[in-house]
Amino acid sequence: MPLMELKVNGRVHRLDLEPETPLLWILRDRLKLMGAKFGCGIGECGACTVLVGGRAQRSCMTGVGEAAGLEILTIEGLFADADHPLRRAWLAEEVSQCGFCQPGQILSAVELLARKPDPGEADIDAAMSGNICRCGTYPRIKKAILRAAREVGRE
Amino acid sequence: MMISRRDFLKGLGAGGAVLLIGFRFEALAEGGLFEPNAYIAVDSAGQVKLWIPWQEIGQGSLTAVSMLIADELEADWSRIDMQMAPAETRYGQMSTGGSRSVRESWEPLRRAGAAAREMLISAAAARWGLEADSLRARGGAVEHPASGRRLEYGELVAEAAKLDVPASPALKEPADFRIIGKSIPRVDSPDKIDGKAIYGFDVRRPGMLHAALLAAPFLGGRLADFDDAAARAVPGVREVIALEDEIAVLAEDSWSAFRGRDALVARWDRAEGSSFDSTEFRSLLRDLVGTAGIRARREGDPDGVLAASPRVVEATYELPFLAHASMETMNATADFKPGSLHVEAPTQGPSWCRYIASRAAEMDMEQVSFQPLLAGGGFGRRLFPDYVDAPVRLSKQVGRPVKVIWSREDDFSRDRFRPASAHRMRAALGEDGLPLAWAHTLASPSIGGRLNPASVASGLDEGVLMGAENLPYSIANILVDLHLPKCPLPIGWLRSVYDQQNAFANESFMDELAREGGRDPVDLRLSLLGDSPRLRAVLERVAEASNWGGPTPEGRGRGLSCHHCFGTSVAMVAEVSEGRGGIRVEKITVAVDCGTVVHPDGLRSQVEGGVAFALSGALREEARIEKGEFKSLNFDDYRVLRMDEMPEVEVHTVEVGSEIGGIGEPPVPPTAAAVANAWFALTGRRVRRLPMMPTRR
Repeated sequence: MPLMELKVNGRVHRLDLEPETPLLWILRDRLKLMGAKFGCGIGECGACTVLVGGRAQRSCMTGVGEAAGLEILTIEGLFADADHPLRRAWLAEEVSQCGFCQPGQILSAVELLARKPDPGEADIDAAMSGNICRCGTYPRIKKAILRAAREVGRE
Repeated sequence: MMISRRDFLKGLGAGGAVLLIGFRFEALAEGGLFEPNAYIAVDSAGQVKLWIPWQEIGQGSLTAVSMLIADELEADWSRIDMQMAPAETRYGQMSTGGSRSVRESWEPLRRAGAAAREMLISAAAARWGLEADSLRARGGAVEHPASGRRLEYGELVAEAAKLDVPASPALKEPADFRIIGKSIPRVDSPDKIDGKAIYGFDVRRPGMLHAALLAAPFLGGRLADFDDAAARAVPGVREVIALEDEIAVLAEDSWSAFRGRDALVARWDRAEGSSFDSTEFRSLLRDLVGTAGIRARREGDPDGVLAASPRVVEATYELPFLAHASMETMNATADFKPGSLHVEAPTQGPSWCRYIASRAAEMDMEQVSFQPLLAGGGFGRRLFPDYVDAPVRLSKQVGRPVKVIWSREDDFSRDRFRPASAHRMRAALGEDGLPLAWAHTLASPSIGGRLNPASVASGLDEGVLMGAENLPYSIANILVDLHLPKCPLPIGWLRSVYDQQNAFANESFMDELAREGGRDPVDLRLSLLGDSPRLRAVLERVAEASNWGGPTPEGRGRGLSCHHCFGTSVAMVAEVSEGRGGIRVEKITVAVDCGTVVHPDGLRSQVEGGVAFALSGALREEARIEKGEFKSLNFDDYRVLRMDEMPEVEVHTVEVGSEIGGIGEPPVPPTAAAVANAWFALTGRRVRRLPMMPTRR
């Protein structure tokens, strides 16, 4: 197996990996980062979303070979800053119910706000409809994204 | 006064609670802990620990039930750790369903907190040589207001632990609640969004193997033979073990287990149920309701009135099988050692899990410890303990901890599906447009009967009839009759259970009657709800809040429904438009009466979520099985509601009296009918068969 360099949350890991192994399982089982969740295995639900080179990617469908060398950001890295505007917004809007999909939702929101710092509702619908929440927290996710955008805009 | 355990339990019963949880009465002084009962411990540093006998599946029970205890205990909220209680005999039968956790905890768990508070006050009174009446508890301390003296709970635990547990501790007056009624932050939120919360899927134990299971790709398949050479060749795979009608691949990590599973070659024999077809079954249900079933309720002379009436309205409604599709698939972890077994899993039924684990390991219950974990959704699926059996058998066989994880395809094909149903409704209308007779013939397989066939020997099942037999409307002639067809597909409880199907039939039909009889839908219902002050109140509130009767925005239609279940009345108005894909739900206005509200924001959150869950089912979902083969296996062929289909949800609360009701389920049943009725108002097209927008295939 080839030696690969994975840059996760600013740390470089050198691991012997098959390039087609999904990033999700390396994050979870090798690096013990459990914030990315397994939901469907086919990229339909978004629970495994992480940022790879700044883009929201379904880590269950992303081979480690594709991610090698790029900056990988998981929820653990993003919210190492407890004062992150999305973290504050998610708590203020009390978004979570079961919470299982929320790390993936938040990372999709990061990409949206990077692209569109002042999103409208239609932008949010378009960017977030790849992330399923069975508890139905959609209205609160929307409010939290709008709140975070407002706060960042003000700062 | 020392009281016996039996007396205390009797006291709990008198409080109206059916909660089967035990108290432990000997207060313990060991280790400097004050443990007045099974739910509370206070240590000498004043830190409070609560064990909550309900499982957190996203509904917020860990927070809300802790609030009940903490308020009566007069604890300092910032100094409480709470966790789900393990399945232990002292907690009695533990399960979380039926929207029961807050309402069934309301009396007994507040008493648990009050008892501890009184003991701490007594300890302070003895220390100071003062009357207990002159003292009060506040924020984790006992105070003597007259002198300004104060003792932290931690300073009192050693003495409090030696006192008798009071038999009937006084509960606070609602006006004195300091925590109940406030939207305090959920205790589980930060860890969940930080990715630190440990769900079942996240469990790691030293030496643990990850296991994936292969079962037949069709219903009821029996394992004939298999070849595991390729599976064993997958790096990381350690064992392949055949269980009854499934094969487990055990590996050092999840991915290897799944890859090994995919490399298995197995042959399966067909058995009973292997030709089951969900479309054929739905036709059978439709045929059945064309004939009379076993009579569940008969008042007056419904047949005579219907036969003689010149104005009979008739309609048949049909609902599909649904999957639960919680975001976290089923999983469980077992750690078998000679003489002891520890199992942990996300569940709604820890006691049943513990029993299944003990049976799988062939051990006594007392040798088995079971810890419920955070669940990535439940919706009733996790009331069934089927996924606990395999990890126990595997751990026993390999002598290492084993976590069994299900793929999404496993989760769909091994679900306990919400049963399909058909409902033939008939009514005779009088000249004033009010119904003189109402007849509801219902066909749906029985969940209770599947678990215990003897329970439905009469041909009736109270469960299936929920929401049908107890129709809230006062009508002189009523008939409700029932068919319980056998169904080889495993079925189970899904959020609000049969109330969902029956409310869709009742409330759609009420709308049809209002149209036929020329009456306003609100007015028609109010005319028939003389005995239901709570339903009347929520109807009036939702009518006002939604501007019912006022002008409807261009291109929109409004529809109404209401239903009472799990102790709570809900009315809603849906506003819909026609979008590119068909029905577009723009807004849902909800009025709820669940009595005393413990956590107002938690209530809103449950209503929003319940509406979303119900909309998902009404608009999109159908679990399909063709000739025994599962056709709905993942989120690409089992469509669920997404962000772009989610309407605005506006929640209003009404309190008619304070009798506390549930909130997890009651928002679900009225939703589909409100949308169907709104669609009719907009287009004149009546939707009588769900889902409203089946996935094209």
